Amino acid sequence: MTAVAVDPETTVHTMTITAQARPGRWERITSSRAGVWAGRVVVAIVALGVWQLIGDHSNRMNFFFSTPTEVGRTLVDMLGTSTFWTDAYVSLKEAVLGFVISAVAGSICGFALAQSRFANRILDPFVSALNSLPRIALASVFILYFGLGEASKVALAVSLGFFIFLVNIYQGASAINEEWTVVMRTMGANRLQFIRKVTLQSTVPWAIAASRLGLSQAIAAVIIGEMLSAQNGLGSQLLTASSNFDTARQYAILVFLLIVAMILNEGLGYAERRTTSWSSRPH
Amino acid sequence: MPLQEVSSDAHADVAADASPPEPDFVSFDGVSFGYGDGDAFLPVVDDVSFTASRGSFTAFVGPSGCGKTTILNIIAGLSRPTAGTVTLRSSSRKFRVAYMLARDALLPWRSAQKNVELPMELAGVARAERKARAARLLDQVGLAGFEKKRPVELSHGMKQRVALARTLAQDPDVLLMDEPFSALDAQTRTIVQRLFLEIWERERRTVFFVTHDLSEALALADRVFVLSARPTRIRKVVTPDLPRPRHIAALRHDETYNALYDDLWSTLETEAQQ
Repeated sequence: MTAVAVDPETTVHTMTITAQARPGRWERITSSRAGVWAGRVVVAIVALGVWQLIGDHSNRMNFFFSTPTEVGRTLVDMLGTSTFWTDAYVSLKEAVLGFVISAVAGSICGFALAQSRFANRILDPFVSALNSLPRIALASVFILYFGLGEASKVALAVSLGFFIFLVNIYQGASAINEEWTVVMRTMGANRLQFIRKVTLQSTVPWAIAASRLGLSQAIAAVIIGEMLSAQNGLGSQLLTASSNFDTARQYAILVFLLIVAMILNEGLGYAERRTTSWSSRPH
Repeated sequence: MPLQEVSSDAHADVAADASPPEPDFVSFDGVSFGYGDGDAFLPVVDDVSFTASRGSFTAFVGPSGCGKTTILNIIAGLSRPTAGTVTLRSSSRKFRVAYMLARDALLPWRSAQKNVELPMELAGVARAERKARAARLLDQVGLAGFEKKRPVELSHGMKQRVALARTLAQDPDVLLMDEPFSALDAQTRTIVQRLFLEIWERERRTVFFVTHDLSEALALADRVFVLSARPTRIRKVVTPDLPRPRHIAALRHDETYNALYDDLWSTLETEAQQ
């Protein structure tokens, strides 16, 4: 290595590979599940603590950010009032309705589109164009068509969710293994049998992926719709709290929405693991 | 059912049943195939004629990209010839063709058992019979105890054995095999080949077998068609006159086999250079 002159005949290079050292305590902690969870708790405590400190530090900061304790208190109070639940019910009803309509209509259209190459080639540019339209911008049109009530929010949710399902189901239903087609044909499967035994089954993971995305988008669409024009719903509550400069209440509503979204997402995650255990894709 | 060109095969008679010999069970008469029209016509198969008797084992070898698979597709009815006629003759019933590919093409959401049941499901076989037959077939390919496993839980070789069981579940008159063992590692391939050969020598279904592997073609088939580069014609017919049951491992030391191998190799080499 160094420039020391050594007789090359006598130089022996050795490299020793020794047994791996046993993991130290720190390594054991960082690779354990409990260690990861402990880390998460620390992150949460630090984040909430910083937030609390900032809010307690000055009135100005408190005005903009409130504090975790205040938000918690407001949330508990809020959950005790019937008006909150009336609004939550309205929003969730709109979101679920929008989601279901999107899922049914989008899936049917996506599936049908995958069955006909000709129809697909004709419609492809139209679908792409509509899909790339920022559909939240349709809110004003929907208010005109469906009024200020719940229907316009459902329509907005559908305008987002429909395409999520359409695109996913279309892809799932057209990504059919060439070999399945050959084998099924030589087995004498007719078209209906092929759809029932192969296409529908292989579309399931795509439908679940679409559902996860579709649900969160439906909630978002409904909240935005209500912010734009509504007398009730969580979106209008958010807006009211904002115009009352009630930061704690806004955050309390957001926390509620967060919890609802997390529960739904976990439920779908469970469904995904149950129904797609055959897939070699890591979950 | 005596094989057309192998007369010294003493074991052929063992499998012969009461059914009359059907020498032209499958016949190709001046069959051509190509893509496109007019000036853009791209010939793939050019004027191929042959007949195969019931229970014969025919292998196709040839340079990559020649029309080997196309010939199988024509027999399967997946491609129609652009000229000539293919006749599949069956005195007894509607002709059944099964296709086995290099990749297993199993449905990943179905268990091994349910995959084997699939062709019977499509044919409307009753549930109980379907289950019993599938279990029997899985046992035959050495997968008893793996009925409930999904394809992700099985090794490559096991999946291909499930595919073989599914192919047999169709109870086919003709078995089309397109490099069925080529994706397996060398050791697994030998095991699955031996298994398949055993089953075939017992059942004697008519087989058309495409392969790149000359030793595989010689070890399994009664007749090997050497195909030319595209447009495909039959360049040479080799009939491995090797007694059955054959032992794949022992063949390597067999003189006839080695001579045939060298002969086949030199033919193919000239063909590949063109």
